[in-house]
Amino acid sequence: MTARRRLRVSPPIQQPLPLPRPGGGARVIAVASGKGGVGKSFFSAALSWALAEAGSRVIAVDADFGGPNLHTCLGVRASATPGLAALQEGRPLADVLAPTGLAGLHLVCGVAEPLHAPNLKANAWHDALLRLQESDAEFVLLDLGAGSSYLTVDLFLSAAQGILVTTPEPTAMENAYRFLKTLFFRFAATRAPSDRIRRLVSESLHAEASLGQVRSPVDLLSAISARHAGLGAQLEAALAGLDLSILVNQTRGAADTALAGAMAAAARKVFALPCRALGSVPYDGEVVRAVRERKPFLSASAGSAAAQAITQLARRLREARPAVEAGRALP
Amino acid sequence: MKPLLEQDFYALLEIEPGAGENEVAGALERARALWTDESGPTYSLLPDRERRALVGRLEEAGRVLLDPAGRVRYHESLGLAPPRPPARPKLVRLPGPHQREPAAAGAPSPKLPARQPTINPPVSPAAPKPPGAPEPPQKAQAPEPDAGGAGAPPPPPVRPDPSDFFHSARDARGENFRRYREACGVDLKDMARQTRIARMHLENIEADAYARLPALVYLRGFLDAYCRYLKLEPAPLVRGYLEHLAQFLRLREPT
Repeated sequence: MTARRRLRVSPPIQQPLPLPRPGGGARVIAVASGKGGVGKSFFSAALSWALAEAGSRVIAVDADFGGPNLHTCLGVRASATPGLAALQEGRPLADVLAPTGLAGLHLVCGVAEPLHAPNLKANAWHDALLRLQESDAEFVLLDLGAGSSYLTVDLFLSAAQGILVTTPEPTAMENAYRFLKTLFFRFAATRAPSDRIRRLVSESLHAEASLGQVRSPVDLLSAISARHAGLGAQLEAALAGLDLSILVNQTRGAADTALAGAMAAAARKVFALPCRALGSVPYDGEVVRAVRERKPFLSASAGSAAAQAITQLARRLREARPAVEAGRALP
Repeated sequence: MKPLLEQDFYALLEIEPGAGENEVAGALERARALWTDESGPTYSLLPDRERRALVGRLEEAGRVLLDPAGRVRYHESLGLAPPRPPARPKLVRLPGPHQREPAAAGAPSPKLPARQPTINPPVSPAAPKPPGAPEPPQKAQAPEPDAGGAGAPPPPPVRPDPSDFFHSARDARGENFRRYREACGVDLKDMARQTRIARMHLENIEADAYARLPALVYLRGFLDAYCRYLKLEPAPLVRGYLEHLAQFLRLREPT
């Protein structure tokens, strides 16, 4: 196959978004879910709140361009505050940070984003993300849209840490796995540590696959290793540097509580991704009440079971050593 | 990373080749629970054919790794250092004053000495009744407040006399558990749902399927929940059951 033909069948390889650099800047945490309605925005809002309440400076970013509602979960009236697009265009950070009920927590509201925002590529947000990461916040939480679009997956991969939210329902689990599968291929095609790997992967995902029929992540890894053992190992090492965890929301009973660990174990096996269980948040009627009243959950229902679970989680995140993503360093 | 079905048993189970027998059994149990139920945590993750092949491979792993001789042969075939002989399991040394049969006291007796606690139903903490004595009426009995906290299962409708089934901790065998449960008119399915213990585990407990039992830490909890559900005093029965398991593991130890 000639280089010319290869170029024709390969999609353009995107330059990766800013990645966390060891030592400095805010810790960017992306929150995604395969399926919608699993409580992603609720969780992002409550986690931001808990982190700020514990004393961290936090920026919560509504990056669900197609369905922004993080402000509602935080008890902020949809205002004309400019959002991520304005930041990208060079507006000062102070202009886009909307205050919330907590001094340490600010919101980048998604309401004012342009209508075509959901159709942009992740790179369109490059400068805005970089400026958030270089702000003086300790945590930046990206509340992403549902689904497994390249935009969502790329934004997810741009963060230092990714949290995948699901519920115990089969539909939500199915879509969570779908998200992880997309994430694997997307990582391999755009962020693998060598140009040769990225090219092989991109080709394998399209009609004239030079790797033959690739069905699963593990198939891809073995196909690459078969070509060149070193390349397969390189890709595996890069994948191992991802900080990826699963949170199960709305759990009821012990079997549900064990689900995050079970799903993570399965994902490690099938997707070769270093998934961890982050934990679970019990089903709690208080959440529904807080959302209906448009109040920040943690201030409206601080003593509830779900609130306690999230507060504990925030404590763990704050205590966690700011990870130096050794495996994620890219050229 | 090799395709799942081409991984060796240790990679498949995510354990080290030097893992002890309990660790192997625990990992097998977790893997089996993960992959067997197609509507469980791995729903939609693998095509049916691959899932079946994987479950078959796990069964094979169990047959090989839980058989000491088979495991030695397997290590040879992989070119690994031979496995450690199965360690004397910790559960041999059970805590508490009644932990062992007084072997020094003389000939091994199938019956416990009289000082061993008789297993009473917790609803009648008085002295043990003679076997066959009619049950006192228990209509007025308040529900046990400490029988498992919130969501405690309802007491079984019929209450046979436990001492008809368990004369001593030695009788804590799966067969007797099953007979007692059936005498209570309790269905395994209901029990599984209400105790939130997978039915498979309950069946394995009742079948004394030692090789398939979960890791000790889980087994202890399951046995405890099983006893509480049937209103049996858990401590001596759990201890007795684990003694049988320990003996089974000792017998399989190569001498």
